[in-house]
Amino acid sequence: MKYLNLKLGCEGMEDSSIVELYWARSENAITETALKYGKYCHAIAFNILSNKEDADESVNDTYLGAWNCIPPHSPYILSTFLGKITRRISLKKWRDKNADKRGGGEVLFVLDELADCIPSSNDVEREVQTVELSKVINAFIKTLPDTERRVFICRYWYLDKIPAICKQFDFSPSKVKSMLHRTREKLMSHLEKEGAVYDD
Amino acid sequence: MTTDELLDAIGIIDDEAIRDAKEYQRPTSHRIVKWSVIAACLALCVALFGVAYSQGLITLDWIEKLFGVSEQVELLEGQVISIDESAVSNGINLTLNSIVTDGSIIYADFNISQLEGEILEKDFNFHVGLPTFKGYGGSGSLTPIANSESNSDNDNQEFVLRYTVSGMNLNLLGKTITLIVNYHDGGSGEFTSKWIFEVKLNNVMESVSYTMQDGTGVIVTPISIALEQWSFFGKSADNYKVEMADGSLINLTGSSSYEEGHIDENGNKIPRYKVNNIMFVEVIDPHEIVAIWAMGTRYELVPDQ
Repeated sequence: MKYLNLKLGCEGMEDSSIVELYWARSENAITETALKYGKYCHAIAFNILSNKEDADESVNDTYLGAWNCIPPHSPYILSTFLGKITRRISLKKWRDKNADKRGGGEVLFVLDELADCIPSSNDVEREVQTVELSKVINAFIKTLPDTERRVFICRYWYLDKIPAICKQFDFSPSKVKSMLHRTREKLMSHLEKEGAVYDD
Repeated sequence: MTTDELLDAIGIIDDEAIRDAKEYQRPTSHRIVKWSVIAACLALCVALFGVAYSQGLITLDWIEKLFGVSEQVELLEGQVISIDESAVSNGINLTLNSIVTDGSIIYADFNISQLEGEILEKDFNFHVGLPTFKGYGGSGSLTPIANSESNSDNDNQEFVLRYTVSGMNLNLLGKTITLIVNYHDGGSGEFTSKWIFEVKLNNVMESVSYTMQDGTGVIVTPISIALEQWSFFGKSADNYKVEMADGSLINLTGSSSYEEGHIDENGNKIPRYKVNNIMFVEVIDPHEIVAIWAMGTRYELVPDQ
């Protein structure tokens, strides 16, 4: 079985030069972005959508999103800047498509797994600002050992399939699952401790 | 909070962490190297293996004969030290082929020649000493290795010594030990032969520290498990099992001995209860244990940071 090779782009123009093209409003910015990060963004989109055409559409929307964001933004790491746009757009597309049937892609599995980290609804406030929550998660991942952090991000940021993670880290599936299980337990504990969930 | 919100929040974590996760590639044994290098290495390996095999140096099959064949056997095999040293006492030749430790248990593979009859454990006595640390105790047991070549007659029998040291405070990894083997023929009571080997043990063995809910410290290696407290005090290891991440249960064996107090290298007594000498019946990945079952009770293990 083949798994998507979700490697960061390493060929093409320097990131800073690509960003300069965006600032100069040169359409070459998109050409160079596609050349260097097209596969990377497509892999993220495909992990979420499991459909080539939908993934292509998400990647094109990513280029448009980058065009609209730069300027005023000047991304520190272009790859993850683009990846974040792709991920957000692809998740939105997945939700729109699956509003009533919730199927397809790796999202469903990931959502099921992340349910481990959500305390009982009787005990928590339902709405927490995403940015605030992200700060708490950022603090959490900094407490993780390197390998656990990387595996966690591969699964829950990139939505990589378990076999793809096994391949990248040279781990057995049971080891990856066990590691993820423990990290989710730690995350739940961290969310409670940091007050990311509130009593009614 | 919903899982969707959590997924979105994860989406905007630090860029550096996102990039680092994808850039990382764990080194594997399947690296791509030039074919010329592969060919050269293969040729060298074949040549060395041929020489080693012909001289009886490579005897690692005893590990698989003891523990069975599994993916995890490599964890143990990778640390085995090849010794191939012989000593003669009363005309009996004893060869120490190879040795490995996980820090508390030593496995040593021997061949013994010119003994009449089968090897009887009661006829042997073992002692492991360290030059810098006297008065240290332990116990050993022998397992004959069924080997069609070496055990085809009684002139050259292969066996494995499993020597368990008392107490977890002493870590044997990387230590130079004196391994003394005494033998008496047929219950005479007097040791008639004595062989002494001085060997440096392997430096490294996979090891994971866990803590149980009651605070009990647990150290797990591919071949043994040791518990630092009393919740298991006095229980028979025969009733222990470990639960792996995939849900399987693995039996344990051993004497579940304990130690009350321990004398450290400076002669100070350290009061603590420990249960050790518990071994797995197969080689396991110590990262994949999630719980211990003892007397029908499940004790969850949380890995230490």
